[in-house]
Amino acid sequence: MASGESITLTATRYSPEADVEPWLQSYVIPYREDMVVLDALNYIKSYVDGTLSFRWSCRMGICGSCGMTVNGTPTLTCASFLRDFFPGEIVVEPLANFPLVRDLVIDMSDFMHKLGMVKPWIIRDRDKPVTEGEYRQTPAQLEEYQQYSQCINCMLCYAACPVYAMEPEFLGPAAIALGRRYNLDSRDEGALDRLKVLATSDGIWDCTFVGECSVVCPKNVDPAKAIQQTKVDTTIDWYKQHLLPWMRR
Amino acid sequence: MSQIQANSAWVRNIAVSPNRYHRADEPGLVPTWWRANRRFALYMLRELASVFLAVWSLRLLRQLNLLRQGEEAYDTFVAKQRRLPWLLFHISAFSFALLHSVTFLIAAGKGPTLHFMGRKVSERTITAGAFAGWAIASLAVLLALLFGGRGEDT
Amino acid sequence: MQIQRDMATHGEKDVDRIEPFWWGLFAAGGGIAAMFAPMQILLQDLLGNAGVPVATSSYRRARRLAANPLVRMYLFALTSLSLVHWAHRFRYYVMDLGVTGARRQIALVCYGTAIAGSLDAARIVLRLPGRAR
Ligand code: SF4
Ligand code: FES
Repeated sequence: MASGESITLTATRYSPEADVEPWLQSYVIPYREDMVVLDALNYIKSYVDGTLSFRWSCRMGICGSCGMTVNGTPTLTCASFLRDFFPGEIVVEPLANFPLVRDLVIDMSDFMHKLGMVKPWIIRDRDKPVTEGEYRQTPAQLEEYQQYSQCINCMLCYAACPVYAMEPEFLGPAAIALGRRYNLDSRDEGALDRLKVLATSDGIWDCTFVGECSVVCPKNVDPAKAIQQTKVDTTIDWYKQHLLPWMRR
Repeated sequence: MSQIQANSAWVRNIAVSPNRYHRADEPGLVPTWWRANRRFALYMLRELASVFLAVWSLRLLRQLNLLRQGEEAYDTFVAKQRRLPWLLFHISAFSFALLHSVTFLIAAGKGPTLHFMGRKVSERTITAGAFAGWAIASLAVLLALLFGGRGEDT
Repeated sequence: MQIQRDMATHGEKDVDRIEPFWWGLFAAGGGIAAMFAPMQILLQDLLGNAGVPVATSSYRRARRLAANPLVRMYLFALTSLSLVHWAHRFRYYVMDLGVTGARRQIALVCYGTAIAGSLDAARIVLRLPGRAR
């Protein structure tokens, strides 16, 4: 900290036992060019105010637990550098659209529930015995779904989504992207099962393609695309079924 | 569900930063939500384009309907289109139509899952195809309106 | 396991059976408008009214052009699908503007208007005058 420069970081404070509503507290801390927002929060927790609560784990953009609202945008705080804001101030708030537990910690149970609804695992009619070896896949088959498999469940897309804000029943970007990820997997046989959850009015049809989910996603999953593709597939199926009944015999 | 997710829990609102919260059981979208960032505002304009396109379509139908009523009625209608309110409408309709085309054709790349020789066709290729289609369609309209309908009556 | 328990308690919802129908027409309308509308507005309504001799500025030329069955099909598709495109977007736009209730009614009014408009479009296009006088 040779330069001796400092930066102001303002964080949401809320303790359900003590506070009527959330409020903001500002901290002035030493600035270093290579610090990320999460480092700054940890600096505050270690040296300034041990009561500040927030989630984090990996510090390398892979666990998905450090998502917060940084200057209004849902962001992974471990991947967001102070130098991008310096000398301006930084306001760190909890993710939008999720109930607040304390300070910067939100309750993610709604997301966990929705994730489960799309059955994000490989479904087989009958599992192949281990003796018959693994399920093999060509590079082209992997490419079909790979982008959607990059999701780290950080929930930034939910915090960015106005439809989810208006419509808490909405299945949401990441869950739909993961549903599609398994539906596109050549080893999977559960597509029909998942479509019962995806192709509903609380699923893909609730989405108006605002596209903010794909803007904030740190892993380029592009959940908006997953939703759009599922809409197209479902629509083509519908017209095939209703306009070409002879195809079904 | 869990006791934390009680209906009375605070939820940070998507719309306005900083420090705006609502209760979990209250609607989370305030009517000004789209002012939170430029992309939201552009989204609202993009959706509004459909209104201009629909009104423009109805206006076109009226003009077509007058073809049946004879030359005078048609010409009077067309002459009215040169007045300022209509001019302003046409300028807005054109701007919104452009916005619609660009956003729609970009989004078109995210729609269909196409395959060519066993490989996924990339989003870029599909979008490029959509824009090529736009160019061809525009050319067709251009030729029809510049050169169509010429010649002698039979 | 929490997730497994959620799965067991959560009943599967019904697949939406009518939405794909509207969405298909919506996408078609958005597509045809995206492809054709800007150039037509530019020529017919901006340059045409500014004095460029486009077909629609002259009754005779417009009539001759509209006698072409391909042009008629195009005009019907463009106008009717643009209306459906509007209906489907506007239905959700109302919610974006903060109206939370009366969803069914709003959908009915939107799609109803689009259907009525499309019938009118069919009537107008079918009754366009022919080529000769
Ligand atoms: S889709 Fe992207 S933003 Fe959403 S949870 Fe997954 S990684 Fe996070
Ligand atoms: S701490 Fe794991 S993603 Fe940021």
